[in-house]
Amino acid sequence: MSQSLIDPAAPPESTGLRRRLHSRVRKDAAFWLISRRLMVLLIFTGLSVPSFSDGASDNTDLSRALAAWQENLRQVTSVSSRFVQEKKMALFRDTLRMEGRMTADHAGHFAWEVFSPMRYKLLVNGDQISQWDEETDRVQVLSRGKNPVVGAIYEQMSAWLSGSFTTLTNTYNARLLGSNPIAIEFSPLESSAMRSYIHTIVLRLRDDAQYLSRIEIVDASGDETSISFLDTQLNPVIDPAFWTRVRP
Amino acid sequence: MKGPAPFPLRWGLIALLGVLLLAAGWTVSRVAFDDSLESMIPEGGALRSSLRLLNAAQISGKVIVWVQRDPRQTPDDVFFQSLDNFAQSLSSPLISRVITAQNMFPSKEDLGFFMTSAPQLLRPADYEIVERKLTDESISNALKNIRREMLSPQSLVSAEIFRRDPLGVRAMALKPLERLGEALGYQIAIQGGHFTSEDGSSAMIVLETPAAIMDHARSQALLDFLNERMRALPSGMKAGVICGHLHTLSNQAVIKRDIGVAGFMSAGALLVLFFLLFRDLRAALIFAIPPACILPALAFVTLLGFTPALIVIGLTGLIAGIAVDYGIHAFLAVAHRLEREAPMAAIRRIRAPLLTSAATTIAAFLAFMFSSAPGYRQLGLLAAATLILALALSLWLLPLLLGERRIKTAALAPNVFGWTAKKGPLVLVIFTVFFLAALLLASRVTVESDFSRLDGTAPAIKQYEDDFFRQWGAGMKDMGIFAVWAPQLEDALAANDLAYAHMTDRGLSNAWQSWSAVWPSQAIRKNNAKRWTEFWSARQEPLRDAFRRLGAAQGFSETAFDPFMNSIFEGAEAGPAPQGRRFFDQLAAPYVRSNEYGHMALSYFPETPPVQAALQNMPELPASSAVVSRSKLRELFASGMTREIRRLAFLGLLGIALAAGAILRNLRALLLLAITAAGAIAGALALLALTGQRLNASGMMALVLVIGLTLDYAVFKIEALLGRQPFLEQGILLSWLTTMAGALPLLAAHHPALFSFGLTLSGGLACGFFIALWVLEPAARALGLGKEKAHA
Repeated sequence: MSQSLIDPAAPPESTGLRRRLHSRVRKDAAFWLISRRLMVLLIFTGLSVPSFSDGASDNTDLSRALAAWQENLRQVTSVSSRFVQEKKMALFRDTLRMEGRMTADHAGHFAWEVFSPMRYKLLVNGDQISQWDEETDRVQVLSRGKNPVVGAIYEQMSAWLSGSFTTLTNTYNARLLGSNPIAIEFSPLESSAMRSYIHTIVLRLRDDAQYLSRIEIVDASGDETSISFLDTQLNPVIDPAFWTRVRP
Repeated sequence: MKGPAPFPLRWGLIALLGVLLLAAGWTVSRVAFDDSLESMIPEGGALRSSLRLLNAAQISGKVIVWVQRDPRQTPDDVFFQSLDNFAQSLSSPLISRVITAQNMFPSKEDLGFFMTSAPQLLRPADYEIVERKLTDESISNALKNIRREMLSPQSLVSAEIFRRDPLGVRAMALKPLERLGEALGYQIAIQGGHFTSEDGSSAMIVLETPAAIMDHARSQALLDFLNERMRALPSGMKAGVICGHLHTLSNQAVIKRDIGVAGFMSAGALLVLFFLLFRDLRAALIFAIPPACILPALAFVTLLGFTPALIVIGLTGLIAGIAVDYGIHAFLAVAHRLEREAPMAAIRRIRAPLLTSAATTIAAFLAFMFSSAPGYRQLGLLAAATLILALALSLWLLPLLLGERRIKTAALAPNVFGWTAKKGPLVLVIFTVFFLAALLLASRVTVESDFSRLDGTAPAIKQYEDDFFRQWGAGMKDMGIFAVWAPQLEDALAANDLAYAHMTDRGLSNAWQSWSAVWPSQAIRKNNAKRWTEFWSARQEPLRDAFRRLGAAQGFSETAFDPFMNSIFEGAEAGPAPQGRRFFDQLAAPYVRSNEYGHMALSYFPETPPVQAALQNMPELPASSAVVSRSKLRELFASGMTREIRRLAFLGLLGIALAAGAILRNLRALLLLAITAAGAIAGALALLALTGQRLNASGMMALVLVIGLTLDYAVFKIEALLGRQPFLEQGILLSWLTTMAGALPLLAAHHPALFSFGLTLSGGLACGFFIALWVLEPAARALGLGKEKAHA
């Protein structure tokens, strides 16, 4: 989807409503949530620390794989994909499984929708980040600049999903696990604050190397998360109104 | 001495003067000039101590680089990557640290430290909130929140945090950190690992530098380095710098420019006077006297231990304008000498008025020596030394150098003198009307209490700073500071706690930004820790059971929150403040510092009436304390400077009266002097009122000079009236013209201190001159002074 598909005149949520929601969210946000936000923000601080890794550049195959992927992604201006996310966490007795859809474009929009076990949607539209869940039926409208934690997460997700190699190689050591299909393992640099949280991230590409097929994350505590992408559509036409509606 | 000066004596004196000048030049060339305005502030008073405190409290030496972008040309990724590259390129011995949002953030360990320290940091009121979190309903809701949070992308990293602090109890210790930033008034967002404006159109990088603000060479090198790096930014991005170093360099450049311009204009005016009025090349000697006196005087001042202030050096043009007067009078005396009269004999005839004139001026300057401001003392000493030397050279060396050959001078508009003699009453009435009108206007002049208005920093720099603060918020720029200090850190922190408690008791905890909110003294932390231990001792096991019971229903594992439960008493021992924690030190830096005061704790507050009222009732603290705020500084400055100038004016007038009285020994003559001085001051103040200017420290200094200089004119006029030396009136005109040639060019100065000095002086001198020229004669007649003329 090209940038021209985004209609700048598309009606956003009314300013008054947004302000009320924002105000309500601010008022209702649990104290611990605010502080946690601060904490998570800090987790991401190392994500773009500009310390350069030799790992990628020394490995010809890896460089070739990354270059091929980047070349393929150059043709992609938007993407929409179903996903299945599984989390094996010490927090929960059983594996947490969720299904949803991820949508993104090169104009800076990003959507993360969960359909089960509960409906949830995160929408990034420029500086504005909106979240909704069916349990509370509340919309949180946040400024990315004022809530850098969510902004940082979006940036990180964006790096993985869009193959932003500058961000990735600035933060991680990269290792080629396989070339057909391509699988690359990223481990945070010693200088990166991510090292305290992430052990490894493996990005697996589809057979045609056009896009991701799966992301596997092992965090520092040993929890495992995998996200499988299914029915991925490259360059779909996205209704501009989609980026303005967080509540289904 | 009746004949011409013997050849060897003349050249011997010239050689001696040459050696003196070389030695003085060598001495002055080795001196570093002080371009600050601090030397103009009285020492030892509340103002100086407040400023000293402010200097000790302020974060100096920081440099902000403000990078702006055109979003159409520079998308986010290019912008942030360019900022990263720019930050990396700032490797220099002149930059000790580059602070971006990335490296300002606390690490997991930094945050963990505060959360671990929660037992010491949570206060009694916090336990009401904690208690509410421990009901079954609250726990159940918290678990639901955690489960819901796992749906979001941030769940990738937040799970471990939930395990360690599921109810957000320890995280309560982080709340004051958030408030700390919020209340300071900055409008900063964080994007791409950088501090950005809320609209993302610009970013800020903060640098720490070892280059002291007053170190010109290193300040210049630092700015050159930064300019070079900023030029390398991609097109579509532009950057500028906000720092004290710019003020230093700009002030210096402005003063240098002003000195250059004023010097050029003065020299031009003096040359014009030279060609119009003096038809003899020997007149050039008159104009050689001031520089030949100022240089040794400056060396003398330096040898006495003063660091020459550039603002004082900027006034040397004016001192030259005064110093040249004695040469003019001596020159005219020699030019108008009687047939076959030796030059020295002619000089002897004007020695008395010249000495009177010099004594009054020098007395005015010497009054500056009693000032408690080093800059004023320096000016007084420099001017007095210059004038004494100029007087000596004019009386003794100049006649020798002029020789026996007759001097031709142009007629000096004789009509301007004496026309008022026939219309005395009318002139006196007109003068009285003007004097009263001037007094009325003068009464409207207010004293400038904002010392920062004397800062000569270029308007473009000030405008850039205004734009910066408009975009980013004023931060701590306009906040008042409350400081407590003690030899021991814990004592200072304990006093800081008391001040904070005083403010929170009055509902002002949000306004009062104190380190006590984040990290109180060890005594308070010990009490807090004890309270934590008591609280959780009875609640630990019931809570563990609740987590298991309520968690199981929502799919949580049995051990889900063991990391929290098993470390519940961790951090319940209050030790001293941590050492070497980067984030902790960064947070504490604006609030706690060690300096010449010992250990100082600083709190910041908006100057609102409730805070001011609470400050008035601050209880006695077990440490020294002080309040520094803009309003208080203004108040101190206004009262301090007014007191200072009153003292100087009194001493100056006393000195002038004593000097003039001792020489003139005539009460009526003294009354004429007083009329001249009063008229000149009223005129100067009226000019300020008419031009919408306030009377500042620099203008006050000029007023004292106005008195000394205009009395010169009065002395010579009285001498002329008494019939002793008629040609002295020509001297008054020449002397006024040359002094104005030094004062008027200051009106072209960009530095407010120099401009104000020039304006006040020009107004005062103009009025004083015209009073001496036209009013004194009818006034003298009215007082009966003319009768003495007959006897003379």
